Amino acid sequence: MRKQLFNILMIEDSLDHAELIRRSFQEYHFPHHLIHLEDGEAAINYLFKMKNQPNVDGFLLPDLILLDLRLPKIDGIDVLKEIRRNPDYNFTPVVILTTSNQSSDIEQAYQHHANSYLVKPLEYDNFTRLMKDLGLYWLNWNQYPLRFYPHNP
Amino acid sequence: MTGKEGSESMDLRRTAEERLKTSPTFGSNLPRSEMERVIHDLQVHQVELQIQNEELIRISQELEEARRQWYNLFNLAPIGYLVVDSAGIIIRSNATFCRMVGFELGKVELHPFVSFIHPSGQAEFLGRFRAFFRNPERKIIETTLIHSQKKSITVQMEGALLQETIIAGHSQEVPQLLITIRDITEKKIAEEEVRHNQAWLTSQLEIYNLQPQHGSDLLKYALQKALFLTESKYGFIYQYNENTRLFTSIICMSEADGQLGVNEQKKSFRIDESGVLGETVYRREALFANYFPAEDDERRYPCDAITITRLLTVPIIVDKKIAAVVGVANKEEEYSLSDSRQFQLFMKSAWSVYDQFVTNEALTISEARYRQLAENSQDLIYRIDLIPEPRFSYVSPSAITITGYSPEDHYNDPDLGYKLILPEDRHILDELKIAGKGFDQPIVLRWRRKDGQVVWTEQRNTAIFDAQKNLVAIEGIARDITQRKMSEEQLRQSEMRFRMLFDTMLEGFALHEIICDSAGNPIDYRFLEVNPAFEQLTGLRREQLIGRTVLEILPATEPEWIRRYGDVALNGKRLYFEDYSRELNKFYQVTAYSTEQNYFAVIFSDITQRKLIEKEKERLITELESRNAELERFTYTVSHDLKSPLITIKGFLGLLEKALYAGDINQAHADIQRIGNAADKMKYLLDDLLELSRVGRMANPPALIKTENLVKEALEMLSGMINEKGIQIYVDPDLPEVYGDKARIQEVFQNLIENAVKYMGNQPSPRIQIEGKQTEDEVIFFVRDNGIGIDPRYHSKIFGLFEKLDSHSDGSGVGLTLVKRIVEFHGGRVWVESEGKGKGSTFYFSLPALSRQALKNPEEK
Repeated sequence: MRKQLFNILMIEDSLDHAELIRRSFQEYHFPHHLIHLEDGEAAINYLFKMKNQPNVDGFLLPDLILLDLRLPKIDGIDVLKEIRRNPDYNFTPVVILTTSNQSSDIEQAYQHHANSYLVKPLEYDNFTRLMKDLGLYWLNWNQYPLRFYPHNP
Repeated sequence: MTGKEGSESMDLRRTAEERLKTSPTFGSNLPRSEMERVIHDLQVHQVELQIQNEELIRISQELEEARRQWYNLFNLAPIGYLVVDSAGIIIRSNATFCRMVGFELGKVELHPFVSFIHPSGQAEFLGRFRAFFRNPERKIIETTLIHSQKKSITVQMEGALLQETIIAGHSQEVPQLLITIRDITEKKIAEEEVRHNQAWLTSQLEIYNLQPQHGSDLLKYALQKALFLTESKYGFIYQYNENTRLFTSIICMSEADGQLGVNEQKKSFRIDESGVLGETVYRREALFANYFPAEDDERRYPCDAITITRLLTVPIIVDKKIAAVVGVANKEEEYSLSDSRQFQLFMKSAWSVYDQFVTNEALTISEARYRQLAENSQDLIYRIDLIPEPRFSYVSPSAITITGYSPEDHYNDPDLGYKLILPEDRHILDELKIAGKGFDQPIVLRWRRKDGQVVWTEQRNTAIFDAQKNLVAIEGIARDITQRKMSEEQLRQSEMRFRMLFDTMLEGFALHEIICDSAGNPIDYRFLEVNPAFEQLTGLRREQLIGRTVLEILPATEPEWIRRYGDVALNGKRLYFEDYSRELNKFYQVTAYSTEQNYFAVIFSDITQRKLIEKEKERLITELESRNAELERFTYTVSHDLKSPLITIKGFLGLLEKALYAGDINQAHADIQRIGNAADKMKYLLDDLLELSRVGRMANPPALIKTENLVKEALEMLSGMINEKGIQIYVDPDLPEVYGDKARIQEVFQNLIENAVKYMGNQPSPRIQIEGKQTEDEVIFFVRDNGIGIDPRYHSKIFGLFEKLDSHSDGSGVGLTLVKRIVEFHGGRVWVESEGKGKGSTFYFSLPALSRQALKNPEEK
C-alpha cells in the first residue's frame, strides 16, 4: 500500500519549540505527517519496540528524523547512535535541530553520521525560513533510494 | 616321500601282474613240483628286490644329509663364495659374501660382481678379470668391497673353474668361475699399524739426534713430523704457565696441498679464553674431538683463524706441571686412540729434548744477564761486607740517581750511606746490623740526597753468614719509592677530605657486607660503616650498628630487601627508589650501589618536604582540573538552557504578530501565555544559577550542627506541600551531629525532602523517612520515599545541571545539582538508590565524621 504523506519524526523536549516547528511546517503546506516525541527514551521505544509489534496503531515509519540533542532521560547523541546501529534506519536522514552551537556537539553528531546539523535561529523570521528550507530540501529536492522509500515521488 | 614311493611300488606291482596275465603260456603247462620251485624262486627274488629297495632309500637319505651339510658349509663358512659367469655376472653367492656387502641372501644374484667393488678398484679388477676367469690357478687378487651401510672391507680372492654346472634344471656346459673371498681388513690394519709405529719411533730417534741452532727449530721439526704421521692439516704448540694461567703460542703450523705454513708469532691469552686448550689443562689428559661442533665459536683459535673439524690435543706434563699443550687437527679420518698415544709420547720426548736444550742455552747466558741486570737496574743493588770493617764491596751505578753520590763515593766512605739516612730512621739500620732484625721484611728509610732533597727507599736485605753462622755481609736491593710515598700522602689527604665529607654530609650513608648461605644466596648483611647523618636520619646509634647484621638489629627486615641488596652487592646492580617510613612519617630517596664484590653502600636523604610539596601540587592540579571541567559544563548548560526560552519568546512573538494581524484573538491569547511562561522559566533559571554560584562560597562559618533541629526547620518550611498530600513523615530521633555550614546543610535536607514530596505520584499512603548513621570516618544520612522511583539507568544523570526526567514537572532541575555541590563542598558524597519505577527512592549523602573533622581546620581538606 502506498503511503501518501512524508513522515517526519520530531524528537523535541520543549513543547514550545515543538509548536513553533509544527506551525512553521503548516504554513508552507508540506504534504507531511508530524510525529512528536518528548524524550530520548520515548524515541527509542517508538523506533525499536513499536516498529516490531505488527498491527500497532499509530506507528509510521519515519522518512526524516528531527533530533534535539539535550533531552530528558536519554541524550540526543545516544538516540542517534542507536538509530545508526540499526540496519532498518541506515538510510533514514537524521537532522540535528538544537540550540547548541558547541563545536564538540557538532563534531560528535557528524561522527555518528548525522545527515545535517542545524542550530535553531533566535529570530522568528529566520526560524520559519529555516523550517521552510528544511521542508523543501528534504521533501522536494532530496532523492531517496526507491527500495527504502517506495512512496517517494 | 613314503606316499609317493608307495604309489610307485603299487604301479610296479600292477604292471607285474598285468604282465603275468598277458603271458598265459608261462607256467600253465608246468608240473606241480616244478611250479612250486618256480614260486619259491620268485619269492626269494621278491625278498631280494625288497632289500635292494631299502638300500636305495637309505642312500637317498644319506645324499639328502650330505646336501644339507654342504649347504651349511657353503653358506655359513667364514669365506665368501661366489659363482660368476664369463661376463662377471653373479650366478650364486653364499650368506657370508652377502654379509660382506650388506645384502640379503639371494639379492646379489644377476648383479655384475664389479658393482660390489670399491670404485677405486673397479678398473683394475675389470682389467684382470678375463685372464683370471680363463686361468685362475694360483692367482690372488686384493681389492676393496663396498658395504651398503658399513665401512668398506679389504678382501683377498681366489678362483676355481667349474666345468659342469646345472642351472635351473638344465644341464649345460657353461664355464663358470667359483670365487672364494677372504676378509683381510683386520690384517691390513694391523700391518698398517706396525708400519705406523715404526715411523713414529724413527721420528723420535731423529729428534734425539737433531742438532738445532735454536730450541724452536726442534719443536718445529717435531710438529711437522707429527703433522705428517697423524695425517693432520694443522698443528700447534702452546706453552702454558700454571702460575699465571697464561697460554703463549710457540708455533702454529698448517699444511695445504703439500705447502707448509708456519707461524711463530708469540701471543698470550688467559686460560678462560682458550676453549679446548683450557679443557685439556683442566682434564690433564689427551682429548680428541672427531666431530667438532659446526658453527661453534670455539673452533677458532686465538692464534689462527682456521676452521677445525677434528682435533686432538694433549698436555705435556713436566714435574707434575703442565708445561705445554700441543695439538693436531683436521685429519681426513677420525683420530684414534693409537694416534693420541703415539702423538703424546712423541711430543713429550720432543718437549723434554727441547726443555733440556733451552735450559742449557739459558744457563750459559744467565750469569752475563744478571750482571747486566744489576748494572742497568733502576734499583740500587749493593753488598756490604761487615768483616773486618764495614765497607761496600758492590754498589750499582744507580746509586747516583738515588743518593746523588757515585758508587766510588760509597766505596771511599763506608759510612756515607749511614750518614745520608735521616737520624730518626737510623735505628732501623742499627737493629738490622746489630740485632739482625728486619731481614724477613722490606724496610723503609728516608735519605737526604746530595742536593738536600729527601728520598724514600724501600729495601730488602739478605743476611750472609759464614760457616760459623756469623753475620759477615748484607746484600740488598733498594728502590726509590718517593713517588709512591708522595701519592700515598696525597691519598691519605684525599681520604681525610672524604672522611670529612662523609661526616658532614646531609645524606645518610652506610656501607655493608652481604652475607650469603652455602648456596651463595644472600640471607643477611652486616653494617661496616655509617655516617652521623645516617644515625640522625634513622635514630640508630653507630655503636649499635657496626659489626652487627641487619637481622640482629631489625629482625623484621623483609627477605625481599636482603635479596635486592644482594643483587647490588653480588651483581653490581644499582638500585634507586623512594621509600616511606610509617613510624617516622618520612619519605626517603635511596640509592644503593656496589663498591666492590660482596659490599654495597646505601645513600639516602630525607625528601619528605619535597614529597609533601609534590603531593600538594598534584592535589591543586587535580582540583583545578575538576573546577575547569565543571565550569565548562556549566557554561555549556547555561548557554543551551537559557537560549531555549529565548527562542520560544522570539518565536511566539512572531506568531503573535501574525495572529493579531489575522484577528485571531484566541490564538493570540495562547501565544501570549507561552511567552509569559518562557519568560518566567528564564527568571527561575537565572535565580537557580545565582544560588548555585553562591554554594562555591562559604555563607556562614562552619559550626557544630544539631541535625535534628535542622531537619525540623526544613520540614516546617515544606509543611504546606506535605500536609496537602497527606504525607506521613518519620525522623530518626538519634540523627548524628555534624560540622559545617548550617544554612547549606539545611538546604540539602530541604531539597531532598521537597524532591520526595514532588515525585510521590499517586501513592495512596505516602511516607517519607529521614535517618542517619555514624560510621568510623563518615556520617551517612538518607531521605527515603515510597514515590514513583527512578529507573537505575538515570541515577547519575539526575544530579546534572537542569536535568529533568520529566519535562513537564515543575522546577528548573537545579535542586539535586545544588545538593551535590553543597555535599561535595563539605567533603562528602551523594547518591541515589531505587529499584526502578514505582519502587520509591532513597537519596543518601555523607559528610566526614565529626571526630576527624574537628581535628583539622575545615579549610584544609
